[in-house]
Amino acid sequence: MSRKRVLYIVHAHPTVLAGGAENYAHQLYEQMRDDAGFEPVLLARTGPPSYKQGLPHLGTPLIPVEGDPNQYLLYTDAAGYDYFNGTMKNKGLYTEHFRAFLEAYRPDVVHFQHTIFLGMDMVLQARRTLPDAAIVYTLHEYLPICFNDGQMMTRKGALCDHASPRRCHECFPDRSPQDFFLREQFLKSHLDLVDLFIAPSRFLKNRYVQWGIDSDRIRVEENGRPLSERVEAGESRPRARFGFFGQFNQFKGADLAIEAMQLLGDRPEVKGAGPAPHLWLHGANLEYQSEEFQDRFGRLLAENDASVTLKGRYRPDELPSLMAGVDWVVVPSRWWENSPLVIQEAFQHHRPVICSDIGGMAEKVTPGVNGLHFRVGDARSLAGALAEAATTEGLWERLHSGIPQVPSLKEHAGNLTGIYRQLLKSKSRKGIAYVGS
Amino acid sequence: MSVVELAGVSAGRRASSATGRAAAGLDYACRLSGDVLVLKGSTRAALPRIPGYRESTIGITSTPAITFPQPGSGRGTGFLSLVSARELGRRRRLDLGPVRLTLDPAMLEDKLVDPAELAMRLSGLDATSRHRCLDLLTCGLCMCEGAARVPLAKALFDLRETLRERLDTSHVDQRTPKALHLDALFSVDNRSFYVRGWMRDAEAEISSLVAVSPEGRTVDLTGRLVRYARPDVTALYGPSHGHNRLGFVGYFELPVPSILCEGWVFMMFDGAGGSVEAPAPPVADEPHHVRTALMADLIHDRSSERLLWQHTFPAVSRVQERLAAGVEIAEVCDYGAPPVNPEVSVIVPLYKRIDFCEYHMAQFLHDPDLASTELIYVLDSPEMAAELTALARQLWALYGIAFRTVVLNRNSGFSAANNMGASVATGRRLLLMNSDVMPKRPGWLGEMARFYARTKGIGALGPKLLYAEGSIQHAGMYFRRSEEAGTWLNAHHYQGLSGSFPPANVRRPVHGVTGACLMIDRKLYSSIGGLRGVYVQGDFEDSDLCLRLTEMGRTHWYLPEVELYHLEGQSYSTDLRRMTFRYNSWLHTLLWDARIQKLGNPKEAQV
Repeated sequence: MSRKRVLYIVHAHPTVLAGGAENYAHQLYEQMRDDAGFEPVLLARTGPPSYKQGLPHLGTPLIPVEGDPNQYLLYTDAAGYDYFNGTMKNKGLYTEHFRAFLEAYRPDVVHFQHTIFLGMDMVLQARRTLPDAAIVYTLHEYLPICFNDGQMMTRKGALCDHASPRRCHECFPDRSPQDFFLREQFLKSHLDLVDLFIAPSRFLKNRYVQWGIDSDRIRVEENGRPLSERVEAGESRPRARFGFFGQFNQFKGADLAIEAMQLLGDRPEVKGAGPAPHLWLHGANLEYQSEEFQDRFGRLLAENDASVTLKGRYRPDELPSLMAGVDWVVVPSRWWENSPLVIQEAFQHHRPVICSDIGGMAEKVTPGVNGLHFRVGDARSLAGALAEAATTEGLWERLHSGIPQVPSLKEHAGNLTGIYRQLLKSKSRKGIAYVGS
Repeated sequence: MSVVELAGVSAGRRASSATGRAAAGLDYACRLSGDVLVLKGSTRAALPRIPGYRESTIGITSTPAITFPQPGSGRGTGFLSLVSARELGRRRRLDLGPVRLTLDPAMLEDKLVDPAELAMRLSGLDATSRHRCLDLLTCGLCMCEGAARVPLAKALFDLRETLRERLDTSHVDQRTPKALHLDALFSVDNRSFYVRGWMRDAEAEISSLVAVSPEGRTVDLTGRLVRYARPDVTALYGPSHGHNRLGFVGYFELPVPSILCEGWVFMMFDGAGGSVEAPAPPVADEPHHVRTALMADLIHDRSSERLLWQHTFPAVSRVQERLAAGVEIAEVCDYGAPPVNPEVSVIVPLYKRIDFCEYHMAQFLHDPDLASTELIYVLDSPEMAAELTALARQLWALYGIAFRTVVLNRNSGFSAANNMGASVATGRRLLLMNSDVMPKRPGWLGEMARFYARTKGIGALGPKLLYAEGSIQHAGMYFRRSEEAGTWLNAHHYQGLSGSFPPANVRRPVHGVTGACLMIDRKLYSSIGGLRGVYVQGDFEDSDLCLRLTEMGRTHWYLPEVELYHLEGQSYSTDLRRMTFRYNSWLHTLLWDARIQKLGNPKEAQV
């Protein structure tokens, strides 16, 4: 019997653009390819601005990925995409091209990783073309719920705990409550055809349950990580080296960490108690931020040049050595996060995490067990946590020993294979109720 | 050569024959247009004076004539008569009182005569007689139709220009005491018009205002217009002691058609014998444009309602008739095979926002009842027909939901769109549904249809409608007297309250249900003529329908178990919108006051 087939659909390909979800999808694809369970096919969106040439070939939006007959790029034009409702204005993408692709490969499982710049209608087309296929959809963020780039924060920067036509209109006054209502109804209609959702955190799942998706339709399954070198604990010594890994923007809160370092210097328990605490900032993309943010960030750095060092951009393969250079990983995000990759990476390298006390961060890091929490957005509270970390004897070793095993990609792929088998066995599908004559 | 036999005597067309002139006084006959002949003559005794003439029957079965003093002689009476060539084609005999005429058929083939010659023949008359002649000649416009009118009208215009009495032309100038200005002239149809302008006379009381159509018909507007303040004009001349309501608006009718859009002249006379005239701008006749002007001017109607009653109402009624008469289905397209013998036909008028179809499809997909339902979209924005076709094809390909599109030849409003949709519907029931209505959950339509089928004497059935935020938009309708205007307004029970508010969740009979989502038996709907087009752009078509059904003894029901969303965007309260609403509520009250009063206290209907 030939292997059953799973089709992964994702919004980008790592050879075009490297982001969390697209890296993960690609790694998962490769893992599945190496396993015995399912034969994977990957369909990753490309198009402007990365691919500037326009439709590559008249008559097909498909572009092969070098050296792999099961990987394709699917070209879609962002200009023809209704970003608000998450749908391609020209439905030919679905009814002609995606349909033909589905009919050619006839996957047993269609697993959506992301549909931005592809459209939620992909789900409908998959269901119509392959009524018996199992449709799985991984919820990577809150974009269907929140039009503010899925941040679930208001545009003024306040945390937002639920969406509604009224609240969203208050955030986006140019869009009427009716528009938001229609958006939600439209997205839910398509999501209604998904057999099983995967959420990498309970927090993320709960947001979708609150939004209206039945709890039993969402399985929490943490994303797996490729195996990497483990950094050993080493000898017992003061642990006052902090690291930030991520983008420099308003949401990720690197500026907050610098502010906390400033406050930390003034604290009595830190003064003269062993080596001075230091923060290394690893990351990029400051230049894309608002002028106001860049100014503030630059000023804070200049004021704290003794205790904070900006290291900048790094390659993934540099991560183990950079992790080895710090004792603690600080995750000071001002927004909820989903299931932050940086926490998985910290844990993989056995670094305890100091993070904001909300959302996906709070869920993944247990205070006193494998990290510390501080009050979100509060530099003083973060300074307190940093002080505690730097000065409490034996704390680092205790938290280091409490760090959980991060699921490997292989384990994760195995779990998904199990889920696919179970779905295919059950044969019950979220079908289309309308049956035309 | 054409010959006219007059009382047994033949006369040449130019009546040069001494015999003809002597015997009957017919001195001239000509063909004014393909359809209309003019006879002019003088007779000392044979022809009685005809006091006036009966316009309404002119040209078809009787022969109009006008008499006037013979110029120069001061003796006897001249006459002018119009003859319908088509009429003659059949009869060839004419009765002018004691004079009987038989025309030679050859005359019917004759060429047109230069109106200048006719003008010359009439130019000797005094001004009053000339104007009466022009008036009479415009009756010729009733004798022909369509394109044939155009050369006639042009000929009449040339005649008018030669014969009419000219006054001084008004100049708008601070130093000039008399002024008359026409801002706009609208054609309601080709016999009725609506004028807007202003006039001022610093020297004497204005005694009359007269309009002259391009074809020469004179109509006296004195005392028939509504005057209102024109601060812009007052500002130009400064405060005056006299009349400060310088503006005027009004509707007037002509006994004969006027089809030329340029050439109207208005004349103002005062008590001291002074007068001025002013040309009107070209006639605007696009019905929507005319209607908008009529509605907008209601703002000048203060407390009296005179403008509303005597001007706006007759004018708008005609515009509405004109609009309704012109509505046709331009195209019907089926996407997918329509269901056979559907229980329900859903009719959705689309105006501008055709994108709502896609949202509907995304919902209908989850509802098995929709597969056996006939779904009809009526496009009331014909300029979007190509766009709708493109969208419809794609939606059909993606969703596989069968539907039909009906494209109207022009924008014609809510009632016409629904009626046109109903005309192609085959379902046992109709569900009139606004495009911005979205079901809350599947099964709603089947539930409504079952309730309708088992409820005896039911007229209209309405579900609960919610706003996007989940509060009540509609839980049945009642009538509420406006404290401000005194008219009846449509109100929705529990509007704005939470959708779960217990009293709103009781199934019960109501005075009416909203047309945003209304189920009715298709035969019943067509038997009462569907929605009426008398109202301007919505507001009361649905209650009007419900009240007509109530008259027939039908009961309307509210079904709260069925919930849909009615997104009803905010409508900006422009002056125009307020005036339109005022007109509609006034008309609705005019039609239904007594019936609504009999319905009893609406509050009792609330639980």
